[in-house]
Amino acid sequence: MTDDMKQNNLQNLWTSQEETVDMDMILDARDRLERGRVMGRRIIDSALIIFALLVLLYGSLEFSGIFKTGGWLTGGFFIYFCLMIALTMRGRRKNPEIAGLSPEGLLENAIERAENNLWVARALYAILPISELIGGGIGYVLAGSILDYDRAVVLPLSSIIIFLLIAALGNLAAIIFGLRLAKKKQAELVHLRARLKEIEEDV
Amino acid sequence: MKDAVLENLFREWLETYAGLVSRIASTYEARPALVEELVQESFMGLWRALPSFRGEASAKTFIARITHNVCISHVRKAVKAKSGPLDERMADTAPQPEDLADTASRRRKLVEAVRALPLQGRQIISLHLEGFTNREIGEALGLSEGNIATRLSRARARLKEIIGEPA
Repeated sequence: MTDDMKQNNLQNLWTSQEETVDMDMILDARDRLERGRVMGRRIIDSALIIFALLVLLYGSLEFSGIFKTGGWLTGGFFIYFCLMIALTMRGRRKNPEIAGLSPEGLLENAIERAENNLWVARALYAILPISELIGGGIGYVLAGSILDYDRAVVLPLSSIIIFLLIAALGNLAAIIFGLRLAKKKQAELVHLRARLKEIEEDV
Repeated sequence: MKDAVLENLFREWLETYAGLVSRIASTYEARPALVEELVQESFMGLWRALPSFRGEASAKTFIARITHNVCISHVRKAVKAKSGPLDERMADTAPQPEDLADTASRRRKLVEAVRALPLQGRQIISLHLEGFTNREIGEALGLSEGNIATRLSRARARLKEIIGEPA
C-alpha cells in the first residue's frame, strides 16, 4: 500500500466517527441565546429613550426654576454620564467571540466599537447642548405660560447670569472635548476601514 | 442577511458540519460531556458570527475557525483552573462499545494520537484529516500556506512516530 493510499485510509478512518450531536439541544440553546439578546437590546434601547426623556425633563425643570440642585452644569454632567454609560453598553453588545474569527472579523468589530465611541463623542459635543437647549426652551415656555414665572425664578439676575456662565463654560468644555474625541475616533475609523479594504482586496 | 436566511443557513450547517465540529472538539477534550459542551458553544459562536459571514471563505473553513477558537478558549480556561482538559487521566477510560470493532478501535487510537500532539500540530492535523487543503487550513488558522506546509510536515512526522502510520 502506498503512502497516499494509507493517508486516504487514515482520513476515511478519521471521518468515520458516528455523529452524536444532539441537534435539538443546540437549537434550544440557540433560541435561548437569541431571546436573551433581543431582551438585552430592548433594555438598552429603552434605557436610551428614558435618558433622552430625562434630559428634556431635567432641562424643563431646571430652567423653570422649580428644580435647583446645582444648575445646568450638574444636569449636564449627569446626562453626559448617563449617555456615556448607555452608549458604552450598546457598544459592548457585540459578542467578543466574533473578534477571534478572522482578521476581517477583528477589524469589523473594532470598527463597530469605534463607531460607538464616535457616538459618545457626538453626545458630548452635540446631543448634550442641543438637548439642554430644547429642555430649556420647553421649560421657558412652561414657566411663562403654565407656571407662575415670577415666583419660580427666585434668584437675583446676577446669580442667574453666573449660573448661565457656568453652564456655558461646562457646555463649551463638553463641546471641545467631544470634538477632539470625535476627530480622534474618525481618524481611527478611516485607518481601520482602509486596513479592512486592504485585506479584502488581498483576498 | 435576513433572519429567515440566517435561520435556514444555521440549520443547514448544523446538519452538515456537526460531525466536523464534534471531531475537532474531540481533539481538544477527552471527556465526552465536555466535547458535547464545546460543540454547543461552537454552534452558539457560529450563530453569533453568522451575520458577519460574507461568503469569502468556505463555510467549513469559517466553522472550523470558530470551533478552534472556542476550543482554545476552553483550553486556556482549563489551564488557568489547573484542570488540564487534555489530561488523558481524565479521559473516559472505560471500554467503549466501539472498541469491540477493529475500525472503531483504530479510530480511537488515532484520536488519542492526535490529542497527544502539541496544540498547533493538533489543529493542523485535525483539519488535514478532515480533508482541508493547506490553503483552507491557512485560512482557518490565520497562517500562510507555506507556513502550514512546514508545520503539517512536522506534525505528520510526529503523528507517524506515535501511531506508526503516515498521516
